Amino acid sequence: MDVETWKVLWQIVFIAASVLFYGIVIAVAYKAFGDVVRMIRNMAAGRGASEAAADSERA
Amino acid sequence: MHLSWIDYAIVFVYVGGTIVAGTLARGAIKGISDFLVAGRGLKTHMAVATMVSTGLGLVTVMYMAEEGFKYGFVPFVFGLMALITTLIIGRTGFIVSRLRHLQVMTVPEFYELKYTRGVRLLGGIILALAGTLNMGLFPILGSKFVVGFTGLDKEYVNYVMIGMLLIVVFYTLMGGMVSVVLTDFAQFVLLSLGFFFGTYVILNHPQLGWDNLVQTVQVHKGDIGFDPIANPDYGISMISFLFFVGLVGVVWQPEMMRPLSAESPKVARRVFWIAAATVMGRAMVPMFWGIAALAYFGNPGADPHYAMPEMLGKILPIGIAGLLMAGMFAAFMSTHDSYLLAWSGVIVRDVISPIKAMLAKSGGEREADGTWGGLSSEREIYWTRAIVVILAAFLAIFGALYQLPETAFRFMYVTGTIYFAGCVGTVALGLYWKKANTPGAYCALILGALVPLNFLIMNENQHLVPEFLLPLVENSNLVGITSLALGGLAMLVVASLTQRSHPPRPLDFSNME
Repeated sequence: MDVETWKVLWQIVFIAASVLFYGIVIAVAYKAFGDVVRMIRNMAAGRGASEAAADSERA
Repeated sequence: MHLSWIDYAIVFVYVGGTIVAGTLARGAIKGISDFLVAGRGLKTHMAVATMVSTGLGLVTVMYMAEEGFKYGFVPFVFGLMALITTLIIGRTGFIVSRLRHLQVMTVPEFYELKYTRGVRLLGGIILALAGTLNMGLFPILGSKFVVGFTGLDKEYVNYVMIGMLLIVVFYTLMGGMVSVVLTDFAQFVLLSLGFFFGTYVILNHPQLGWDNLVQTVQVHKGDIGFDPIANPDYGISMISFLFFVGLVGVVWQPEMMRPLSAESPKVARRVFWIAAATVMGRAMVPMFWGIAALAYFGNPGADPHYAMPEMLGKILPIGIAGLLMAGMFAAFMSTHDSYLLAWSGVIVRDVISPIKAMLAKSGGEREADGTWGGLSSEREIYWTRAIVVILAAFLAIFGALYQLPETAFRFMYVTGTIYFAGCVGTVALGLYWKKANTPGAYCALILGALVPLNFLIMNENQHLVPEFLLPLVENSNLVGITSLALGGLAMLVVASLTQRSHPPRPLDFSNME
């Protein structure tokens, strides 16, 4: 593969990597926010992480 | 100084918030599984956020940027290999699903299930040695970022490192894995914003932009700044090593703690599937920043550890600089607390506790609270906290004194391979090959660790090495691939020869999700 092809390839790969990265970050941050709030609420109530996990499994 | 009071205010608000969260998290720690794997209650998205964050520490940003600064676009191949291997793991659940199914908290714990307590002890020692050495450069590189970014005098680099370590130790001691998960989420959001704005500013800066970066690499590096196969520091050997180590690297304790903390093997597999989409960006954005630093200063001889943060400190506007600094500080905390917890957990559960159990001649069965007849759950937490403090002190001394022989990226890979190589035989074959047995595991661990340890020691003393062995102390790519092959072959050959004298222990995966 000649060097000009590598240059084009890296540009395409960089754009694809950025789109995938920010796309996943937005989706995951949105969906995990509820879990974080729940975790902080459990901590404030002094409940152990194992107890909270078991409760959430039952629910 | 490059930053304004607004930027510093953003950083202080973040640090204050995390200290409050760490204090709150203390109430959530009731036993060792709460402390080390957050009660195994992580759901998919939280587990993805925390896993991505661990793989994206400040040190990662620094050594990836250094690779970009030194080798141009060629290191992008690392991102491609990471994508391929993470997709394979996400699709097949390779190693991850089976380890999660066995409900172990550390990888050497698997050695006791499959092999013997002695293998667990040796595996724990090798893992702790590799992990501690691997982490040796983390604090100093983090400190160099802060000094370069803020424009502080470089003579303060060791003081900044100690200050940052003190905050991390306090935070980790408080809440264990629960604290880690919370900082990871904050880092995930803050650093991603910093990544976005940092890259945006670079792309739109009159002196930078994509075309200028390409031209800079062409001028300073030539064609080997683009072609990874032609580049003598990369080439097929490095690309193959990156592929194989990407597959087996999943056993790295700080990374493995996320899938092991997931609520089921199915979630553990899904975490990798989603995280795969981020691995290229995590590697390529910092590499791109490293190339931008080369274009900005135009001096390939500059210290790459300072060049990238100095460039960012100068080009980012007020507010965005503070956001990135808070994100980087979060990244520093997140990686350090994860690693400190991971390695101290291994030292306590896989070295100290088994020794105590051996001395007490206990049966070697797993108890209901996750202990193995050595230390009690409370004593394990106590000792894990003590080891966190000892490791932090070691890191401060190592960071201040150690001089890097190669790039930080290669140092990380060679030190990691001390452990990865043995895992090819002990973990990968142990989980998927019915004939894997104890003598094979001992040989895989010892032979796998030998070549990278030899490289680290003899690289400084090459005059003592016979000529035919010189490539193994000069070429880190060859060291990596040879060690992985030795780790696998040792298990295959020795286990095949000792099946009668040491029949393998079977594992049951019939009801795995």
